[in-house]
Amino acid sequence: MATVVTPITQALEEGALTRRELKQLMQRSNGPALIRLALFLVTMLATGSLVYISMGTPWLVPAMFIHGIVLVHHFSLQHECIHYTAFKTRWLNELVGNYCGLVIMLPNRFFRYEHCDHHTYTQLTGQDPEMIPMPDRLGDYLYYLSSIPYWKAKFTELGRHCAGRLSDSEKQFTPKTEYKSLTLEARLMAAFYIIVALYSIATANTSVLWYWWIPVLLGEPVMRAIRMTEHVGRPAVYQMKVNTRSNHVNPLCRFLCWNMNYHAEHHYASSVPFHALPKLNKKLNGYVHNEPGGYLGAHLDILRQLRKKPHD
Amino acid sequence: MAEKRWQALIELSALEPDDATPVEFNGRLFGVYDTIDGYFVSDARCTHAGANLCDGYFDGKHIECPLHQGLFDARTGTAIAAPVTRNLRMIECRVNGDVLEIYL
Repeated sequence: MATVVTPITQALEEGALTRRELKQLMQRSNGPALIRLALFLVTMLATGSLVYISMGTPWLVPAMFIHGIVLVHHFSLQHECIHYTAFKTRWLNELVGNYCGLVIMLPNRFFRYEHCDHHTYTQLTGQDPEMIPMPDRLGDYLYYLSSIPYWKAKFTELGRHCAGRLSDSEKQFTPKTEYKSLTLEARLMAAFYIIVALYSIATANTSVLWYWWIPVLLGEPVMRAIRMTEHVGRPAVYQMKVNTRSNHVNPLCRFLCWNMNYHAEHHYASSVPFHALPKLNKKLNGYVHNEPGGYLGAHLDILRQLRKKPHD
Repeated sequence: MAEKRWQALIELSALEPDDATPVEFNGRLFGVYDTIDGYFVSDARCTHAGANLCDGYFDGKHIECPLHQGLFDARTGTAIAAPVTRNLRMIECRVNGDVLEIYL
């Protein structure tokens, strides 16, 4: 049985925070997530209304883009749910996580297993299944942001799981006893999309395109850009003090991403719920890598490194 | 192999009240849980990836792994939620005066 020194164990041993402080920060509650979820749904309703009122005008695409930015942030809530830190009640995390997964086509249980290895092997090439490699060229950077490789990977993944297969790397993080449940999950998800598509065709209703899928496709590059700020450009080493970025962003972004901009803190103590991450950020100030320039600052850092990279 | 016997593990006053406390004993790391049903002791390492469970969230009944949030019943060692699939090894314990003893 291998033992690991988790980042939080390391932080405790190095005196970055005390066990009592950690226990306090880990306290769970349903209230903050229920309030934020309600506000999130109201925001989604508001941006969906923007799409509605801009139908037939040149503002339709910008409206769908804004609505899409909100929709793709279901990822942030789902991420919080797979850690069981959004809600105190565990089944609420399952329920809401599965809802989010349907919105953005990310099977919840699969994501949970995959994300385990992301936390165990953060930023380690060949071991971190969610690692976004540092691009070699500006073209690679823009291609990643386009979301084309992301969607290619997601559709391939869903198809493979529907066929009852897992890739070799997926078998690394999935217990054998769970293979069948991941197949079932993928098939249920695919069946849901097929039913929605057939219903839309049968009723000649195109709402799912205008209010859901086109906005998601338009918004995904924003989520890709945010995901890049978490680790890309940071050293590909085991040491959590340096391999992850926390980004200081405005309150609207913090709201949408469920405080996941405090990413280094999240990796240090993934049992700390989203609403306590700002406090943990203050506590770990100077101990982890902070990007004061926020998402933009992180991308400027990535682009600076890209410019210095030898291309031959 | 030495015969099992009751051995003093830790004084009760040194335990985190209503919480999980890591205790090193003869080179092994144990987790001591002050649960709603009394004290329980297990190997402190998660059966999934080996993280120290005592750094995780404890609600009086369940201990959650700090690394991947797998869940165990701290009173029985039963693996309850993914990604953990194997139960925790529990160590028999008893209170003797103001000391917690383990049968090891």
